[in-house]
Amino acid sequence: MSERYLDVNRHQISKGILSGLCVRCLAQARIKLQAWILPCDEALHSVAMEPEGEFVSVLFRPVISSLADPNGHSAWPGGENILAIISILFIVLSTIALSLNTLPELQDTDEFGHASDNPQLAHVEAVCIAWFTMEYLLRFLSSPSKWKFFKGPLNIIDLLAILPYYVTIFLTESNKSVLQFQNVRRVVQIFRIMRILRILKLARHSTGLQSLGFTLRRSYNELGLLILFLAMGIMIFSSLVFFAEKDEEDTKFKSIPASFWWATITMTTVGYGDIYPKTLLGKIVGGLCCIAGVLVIALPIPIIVNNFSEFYKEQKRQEKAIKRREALERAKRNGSIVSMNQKDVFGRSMELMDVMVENIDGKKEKVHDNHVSPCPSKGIPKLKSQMSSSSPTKTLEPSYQEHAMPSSSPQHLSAQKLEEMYNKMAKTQSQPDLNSKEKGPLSKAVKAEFEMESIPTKAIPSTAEAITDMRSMSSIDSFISCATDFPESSRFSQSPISSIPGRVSTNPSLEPTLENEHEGSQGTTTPLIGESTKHGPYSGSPKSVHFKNPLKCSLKVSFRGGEDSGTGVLSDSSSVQSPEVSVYTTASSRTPTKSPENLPPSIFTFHDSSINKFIDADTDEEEHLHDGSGTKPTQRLLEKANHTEDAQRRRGNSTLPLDGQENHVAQEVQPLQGEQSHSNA
Amino acid sequence: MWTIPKPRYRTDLCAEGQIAVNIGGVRVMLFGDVLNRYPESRLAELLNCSTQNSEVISSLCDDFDPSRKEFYFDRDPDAFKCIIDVYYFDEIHIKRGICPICFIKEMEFWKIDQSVLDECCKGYLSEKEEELKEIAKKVKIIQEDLEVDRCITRTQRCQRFMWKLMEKPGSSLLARIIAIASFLSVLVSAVVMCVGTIPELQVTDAEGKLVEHPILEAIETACMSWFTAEYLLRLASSPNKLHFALSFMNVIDFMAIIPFYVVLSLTYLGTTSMMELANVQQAVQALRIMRIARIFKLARHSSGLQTLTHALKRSLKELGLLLMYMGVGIFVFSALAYTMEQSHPETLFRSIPQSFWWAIITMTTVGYGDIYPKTTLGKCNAAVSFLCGVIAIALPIHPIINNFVVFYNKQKELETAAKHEVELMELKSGREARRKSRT
Repeated sequence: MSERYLDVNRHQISKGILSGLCVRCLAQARIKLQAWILPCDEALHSVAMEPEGEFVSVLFRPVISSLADPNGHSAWPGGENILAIISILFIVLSTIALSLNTLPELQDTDEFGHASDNPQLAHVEAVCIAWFTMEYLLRFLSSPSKWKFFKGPLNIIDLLAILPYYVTIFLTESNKSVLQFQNVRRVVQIFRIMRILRILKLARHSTGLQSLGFTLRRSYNELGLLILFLAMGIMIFSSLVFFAEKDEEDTKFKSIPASFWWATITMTTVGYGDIYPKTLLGKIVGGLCCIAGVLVIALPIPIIVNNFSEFYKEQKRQEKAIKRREALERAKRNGSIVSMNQKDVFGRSMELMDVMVENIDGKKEKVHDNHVSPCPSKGIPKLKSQMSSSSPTKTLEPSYQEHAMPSSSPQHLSAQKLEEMYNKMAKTQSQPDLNSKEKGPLSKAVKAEFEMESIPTKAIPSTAEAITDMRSMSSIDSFISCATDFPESSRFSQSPISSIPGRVSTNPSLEPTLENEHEGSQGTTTPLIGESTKHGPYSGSPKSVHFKNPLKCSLKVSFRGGEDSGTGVLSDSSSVQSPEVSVYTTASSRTPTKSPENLPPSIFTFHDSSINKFIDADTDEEEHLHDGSGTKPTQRLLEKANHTEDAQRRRGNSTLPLDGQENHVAQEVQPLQGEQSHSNA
Repeated sequence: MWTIPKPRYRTDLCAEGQIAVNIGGVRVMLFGDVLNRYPESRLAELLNCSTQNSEVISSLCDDFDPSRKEFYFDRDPDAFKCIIDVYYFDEIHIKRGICPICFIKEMEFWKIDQSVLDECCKGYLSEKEEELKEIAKKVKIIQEDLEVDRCITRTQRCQRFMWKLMEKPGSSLLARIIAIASFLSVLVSAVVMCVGTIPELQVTDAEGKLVEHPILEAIETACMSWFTAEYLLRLASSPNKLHFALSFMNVIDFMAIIPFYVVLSLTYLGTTSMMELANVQQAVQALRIMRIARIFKLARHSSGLQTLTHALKRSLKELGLLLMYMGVGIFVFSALAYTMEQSHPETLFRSIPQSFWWAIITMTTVGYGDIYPKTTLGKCNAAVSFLCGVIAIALPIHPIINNFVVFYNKQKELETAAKHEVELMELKSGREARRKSRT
């Protein structure tokens, strides 16, 4: 639904087609998008924006990068976790010291007879503050944008946690001899209270706390409502009880403001019992006050809770995606796939794909190197430069940014091609394995792949199917996270591609896996075609058809091609293709897209946990594809303008002969595979 | 019913008494006798006139292939699959995912009466229709705001201007300022009302009685005159006076204003010794409670409060349930507590009505501690009573909360939808204007 909304945004004209009812669904999606998904994105991006300063010496870099983002992103494997734990320990320690300091038994008395800090605890405090200061300074130095860093809410908290200490020291040192010591003491006391803020530093290490803060910020409307309800209730009941109890002898309800306290304590059902009504009328008012209080407090809270859970879900999802990417990058930085963690079999196979993509990318970059602009270097420069060309995220990133600009159609396609390549790799990778089993001479990489293959009992083609299909899982994920209660009909989930005659007329006797193969092989051909006809139209790729289809297309499907969803193979093909669409649309819009609901069950009936895991892994990979695209969501929304022409042009080309390419492709695949194994060996 | 042959999805030519229809690419063979169960429907008409001239046929369907005897319709096949059910089962269920409004249009096209729609789907439809109506209402309001007033007479224009100024805070800067001022005056008057009761801030009058501070009284008077002016202006500018006077918000406004004037007139009567002074003072005291009504004036400025009143209105039944549960609980537990505490010599429970208070305070988990059980049995009873109280409150409160949440979210969604709709209309009008300029 929200994808539709974005489509509508893209093609303003198509808006007229939607009836008022659908408009409401769009409104739901719009609210969700604006309230949760985009902000969550932004919040995460601001957190995950790892600071990499050019001028900080290389020596500090590992420390800095691990300090900068405890969620990962460091040159030290595991180092970031240690640092995060140390940091948490310091926070807890300093808070405990702070509270112990107020125990009268532990306090010292200074020369004026005032209670002062215990010297041991003061040492603890100094050590903690030193750590916090170091942390803050390193972070500050290593941040790419100082002002942005300064403004970040978490960093403001850090600063507020440190500053009171220094201000206190400054004040006491500078005023030691001055007579107005009393005033200084009072100020110092206030600053001591501010030390409590350091407990908020824990927010950096806890997703839950961040979500809480974010939720409170987002739902200030509901919080305001809660306070308003309470304030009104307090005012009404306190004045009522005041008038009821006024004439009682030595009553405690002396005025309306005095009975505010009673009303608050009663409405929140705390009930200290220091003030309570004594007359009958007062007791009736009190009883009503209790019940009204329970009601009034309970009303707005579910909305806030709902907001919280919504945001928390989204954040968890995206964080997971980021983590996957971290693992991937770390493995790549380590240079070899072989040395990878044994536990991470499925992650490994993913990387294999990536490495293969890398190879092809390397080739391709010779052709399109102006399209794939190099990523800003980070971490260890040498490895990074490799990475920027290798990982699809990195290569996709610049091209997405270029999307925002007009007249960038070739760039579109290069991004797509990467994706196709990725698909093809997923496909071809599993295919040669069958052969290699018999052949014997294997690269280690392929062996690793073997491990993965041997676990599932299913046939390998089905794995391949899973690989290509798992993109739909990402859409499931986002679909769940943003489920509109309005069920998606088959027409919504229809892949627009099926409206194109060439596609729909696919032979129904084809196995789904064959269909996949078809897909993958087409993917292979495209770069080759691109290579041969350097400046030729890239729209020869059939996949480009379903890259950001215009709404027009999908609408057409909904009316003409509706039957397709029921018949197995065709809808299978659409399900294979629709993920592509969904990937791109999510990348561009950060919203859930096609409903996977009525994909045929065959796709979701993998019994092997391994495959499921595999799917999961790749899903996240997909997600981080769009996480990685650093363009702002708004920018992404803006890109809608120039799609209509592109898509139309592509549709015009979409009827290219497809079937003849298969053999040719198979030939192409083998050398590539061989090359791959050579390079790994 | 199952003996009736199913439609055949085959491509062979149809035999006598059958027709083949092709709806949006889906070919269906239908039997004439089945179709004739609803003779007024489009398909039955098609069947009955299939031998006649082509003009009638082309008026009934989009296209006709005489060689294959196939009728083409450019309609939604999904909806048709549901609609065809009527011939077999005499009822229609809307498939999940089809927009019910759309579906009704399809049904109209196939000339099938809406009454065959099954109850379960009717509820769905009516719900959606209600939503649409609400959206339309909101759109109308927005459009009215945007509309340039083209009233004929000057007084009407003046009235319209005043109405917008007072009722639509978003319409202009001045209107917004007025709204903020009225909000602030509500707050100030509420604060003044509370502060006025603090003994330290009161002054003694000639008879040695505590009365409100003159400054506070002056503020009170100013606020009251503002409220009065506001109310009168609203009343004067409203297009429909009776409707205005009876609407909920304005009744509250009226209630907030009237005590002040009643008190004024009563004191006037008292000073002119037309009434006894003591009586007047009692009446004035009683009327002071009425001042609380002004707090409700805040509801005009908060959509959340309006939602609350809506939700409470809608869940009156649950509120009754809550009160009933509480009432039963109070009776049972106060009686139990009273009997159990009788054994204790210094019991705080002197009578059952007195222990009502204890029961309420315990069941709502407030627990002041002014009355508490002292015997063991009484303590056990207290524990049970507070557990029961939690449950008795939690159970009926859930539907109330649910009502509130649903209402709140829906309000937000419908508002967004209405905005969307307005955007859409602007878009349409813009497109039309462009088309006109082109031609």
